[in-house]
Amino acid sequence: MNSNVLTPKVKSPAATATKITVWPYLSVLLQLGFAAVLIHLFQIEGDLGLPAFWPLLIAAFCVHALAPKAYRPMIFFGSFVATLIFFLGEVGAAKVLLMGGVLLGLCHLPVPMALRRGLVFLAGVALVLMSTGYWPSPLDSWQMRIFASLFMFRVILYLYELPHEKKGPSIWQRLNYFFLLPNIIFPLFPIVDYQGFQKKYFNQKDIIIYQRGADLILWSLCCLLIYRWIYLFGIPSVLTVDTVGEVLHYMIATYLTVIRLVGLLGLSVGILRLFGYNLPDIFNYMFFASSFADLFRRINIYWKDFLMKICYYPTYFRIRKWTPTYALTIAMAVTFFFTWIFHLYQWFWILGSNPLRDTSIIYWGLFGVIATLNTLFEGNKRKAKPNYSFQFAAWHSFKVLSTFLMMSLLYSLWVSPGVGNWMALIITATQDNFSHWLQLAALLLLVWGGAAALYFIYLNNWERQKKALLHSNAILRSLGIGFLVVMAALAYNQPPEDSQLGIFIQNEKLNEKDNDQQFTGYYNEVLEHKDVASRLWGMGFGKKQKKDFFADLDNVDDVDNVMLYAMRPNSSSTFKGQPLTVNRWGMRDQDYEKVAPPNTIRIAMVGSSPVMGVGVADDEVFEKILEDRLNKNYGSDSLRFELLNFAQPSTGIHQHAFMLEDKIRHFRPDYILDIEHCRNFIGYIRKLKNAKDAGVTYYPALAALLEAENIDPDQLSEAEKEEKGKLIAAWGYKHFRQLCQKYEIQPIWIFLPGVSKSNILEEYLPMVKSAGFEKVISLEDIFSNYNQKLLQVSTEDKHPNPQAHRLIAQRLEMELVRHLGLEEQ
Amino acid sequence: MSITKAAIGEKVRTYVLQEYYDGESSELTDDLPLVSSGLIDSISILQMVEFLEQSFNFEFLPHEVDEENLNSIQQIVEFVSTKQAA
Repeated sequence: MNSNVLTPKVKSPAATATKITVWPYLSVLLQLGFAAVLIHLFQIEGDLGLPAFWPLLIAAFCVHALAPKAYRPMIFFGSFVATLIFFLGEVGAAKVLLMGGVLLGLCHLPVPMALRRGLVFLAGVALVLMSTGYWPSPLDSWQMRIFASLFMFRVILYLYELPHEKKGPSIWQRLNYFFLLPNIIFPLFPIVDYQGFQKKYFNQKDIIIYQRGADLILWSLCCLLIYRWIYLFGIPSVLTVDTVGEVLHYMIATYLTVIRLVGLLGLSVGILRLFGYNLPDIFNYMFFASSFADLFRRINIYWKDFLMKICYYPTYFRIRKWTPTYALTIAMAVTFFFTWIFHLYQWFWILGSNPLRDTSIIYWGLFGVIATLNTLFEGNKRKAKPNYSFQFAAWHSFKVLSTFLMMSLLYSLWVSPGVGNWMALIITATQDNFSHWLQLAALLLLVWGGAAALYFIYLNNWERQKKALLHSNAILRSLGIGFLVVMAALAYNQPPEDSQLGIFIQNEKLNEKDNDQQFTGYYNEVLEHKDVASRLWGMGFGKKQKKDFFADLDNVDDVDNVMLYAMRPNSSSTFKGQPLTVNRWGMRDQDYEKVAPPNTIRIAMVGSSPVMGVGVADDEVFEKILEDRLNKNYGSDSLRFELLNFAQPSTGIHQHAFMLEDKIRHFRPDYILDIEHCRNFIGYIRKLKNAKDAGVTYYPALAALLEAENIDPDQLSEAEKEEKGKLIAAWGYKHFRQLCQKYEIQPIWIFLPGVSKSNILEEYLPMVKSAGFEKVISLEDIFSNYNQKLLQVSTEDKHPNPQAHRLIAQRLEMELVRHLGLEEQ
Repeated sequence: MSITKAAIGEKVRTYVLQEYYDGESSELTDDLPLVSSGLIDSISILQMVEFLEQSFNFEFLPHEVDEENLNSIQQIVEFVSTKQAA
């Protein structure tokens, strides 16, 4: 915006004109304000930091738009730095900027380009060594993630374009190309074309670009809300999928979750437009693609153009002297191979882990083959003349529908925890009875007929007459804003928390049990730094679900006792993207002798998934950190500490008691820490039912209590379950305490709250105390001074992340020192 | 042998009408965006490259296959003229 636009010139003829000019800018500001309200009400992408980011963005937009044009590139860079400091702190931001500066400096060294490229490559190797822990890294994982999103692709494009640059942009514009504001919160926006970025800067009147930005932002928010609805309510649990129709429903809904990516990338481009970078849209109605080659053109156009530039054209030009068809095929094959490689590359830089999976190899292999064949086929065809017949509409609709269904099938493979899981779905579908297949075929025919009719009407009423339908910005804007206003009104009225709408608004995506069992997929994992353990691969309760908790973990065995399953001794695997090592005793811990060495205080720990360290690496579990700290700060040649982690997910006091009697007592610990979340008591009834369904005999004394109280898990109402659950819990605590007395182990009961879950400590405390626990430690306020969402593994996975584990270890060290009287020693 | 910009433009225009553009020929102006509008995508643009190379007897380099050079008839004409002059 021109700097004097907002300066009123009272009583001059220009005043009226100024007022008229100001309104479009205020309108954009209003739209951004409306977006702020929505983001706040729905906490849209709250875990990526969008609600905190948005006010900073609005402030940066105002300053930038009011500044003279010459200063705007500088202000954009300043906005990046300020926002980076807000999120990472001064030191973290300085590290990212400094390392970025070094990398950029290498690109401009006064040496031949080949040498510069070699040096940047070596810098990349050094960063790999840092990222994998072989070299000390100045950046923590969050800083590395942001740094990677800024440089991992753009430095490739930059080095590609640099030798061909005719008129170099200013230093600020070079810096701005790398240090893009949206990357601070959205790591999945790594590719922007360098030439386009420079050439499209204020290539139209500023207000036109700003309005394009606001339009895209509001449209993207619609996408993110639609995604949330699909995610919460549209995807059936894989365990309930029994028919071919349900399998198809699952696959389609899974594919539709890509709308989140559409929303996030759209938001990123919209934000850049607010600063004059008039970049094109990234997606072009991808669900309407009529072939795989067409899909490749419509889905993530920035990514596709990057591959064309870096892989496709160079390969094609190198070999085109051969036959054109051969050259085209090879170039396409190379491009798809690198599409896969670059997805792995992106995964590695953002997550810092090994991304190689059988599902991704098959997915990209199939996609590449089909798209290449498709391109070859299309390449041999001449351009079709306009055709408005019903036959044409029917054939085109058929192609769109087939591409969509085929893509749903493939996408469901890509996001599956393993090929076996996906094959199980296919087998479910193929084994379904013939009548279901017929019903599905009839439904698809109906959909096809409807789509053909609609397309025919569209062709003849809009396309043929060159009239816009949804391409009109005004119509799209009205539809989008209308939808968002309705959403905002619904959220403002605060529907009941347990209603579908309430769940949608709060975005409490997974219940407590489901925290352990999540659906995700490539993009969500990269976005949220977590790994596949699909919630879809196990919802509800029971032995089957317990097994499904470990859907992508193969070192788990079923057992015929109240534990229902156990970790396989001497095994290691990756669980939720993190290494999980099990020692010879079946604990997620380092190895210990059965008998403690002399002068050792041995402490056993029991608990569920947070205590086992679900979502963090072996050496990040608080038990390990605590053990190290105790030995470092209070240990000596004559005093050592051993902490034995017997925790296992989805366990409660009864399982802890069982483990104490069955296993822990043989290790003769001095203390046992029973670490609990204290959630509702219904869980105890559920666990009881699981055991009953699995045919496992619970404790005879408990069985007697159940009989005396007439407790039948299948017959109770929810309120009764809560009440009876309390009774069962109380029995468990008493039993646990009695076992401790019997085996002369001192129990310490510890309350560990969830990172972002409400707990009911007050109902537990009297029960625990009446059971005879003398030492009780409450960590109730441990997370209260922190942004709790930054302490959880990911959006849906509310387990403590490494930082939260460090906090727990520090606090527990302090508490244990006090309770164990270590200060006096 | 170099040919005039007008002749280049006419030849390119005929080719675009024949291969890519399905609207009225009068609507195909010299500055109508071809690539950024999606009329020609980055895969089928190679057909255009082949056509230009064969028609005007020069060779593209990989980095020249770009929106800057091929986005409109006008830009194509400028690019071809520059290549022929080189």
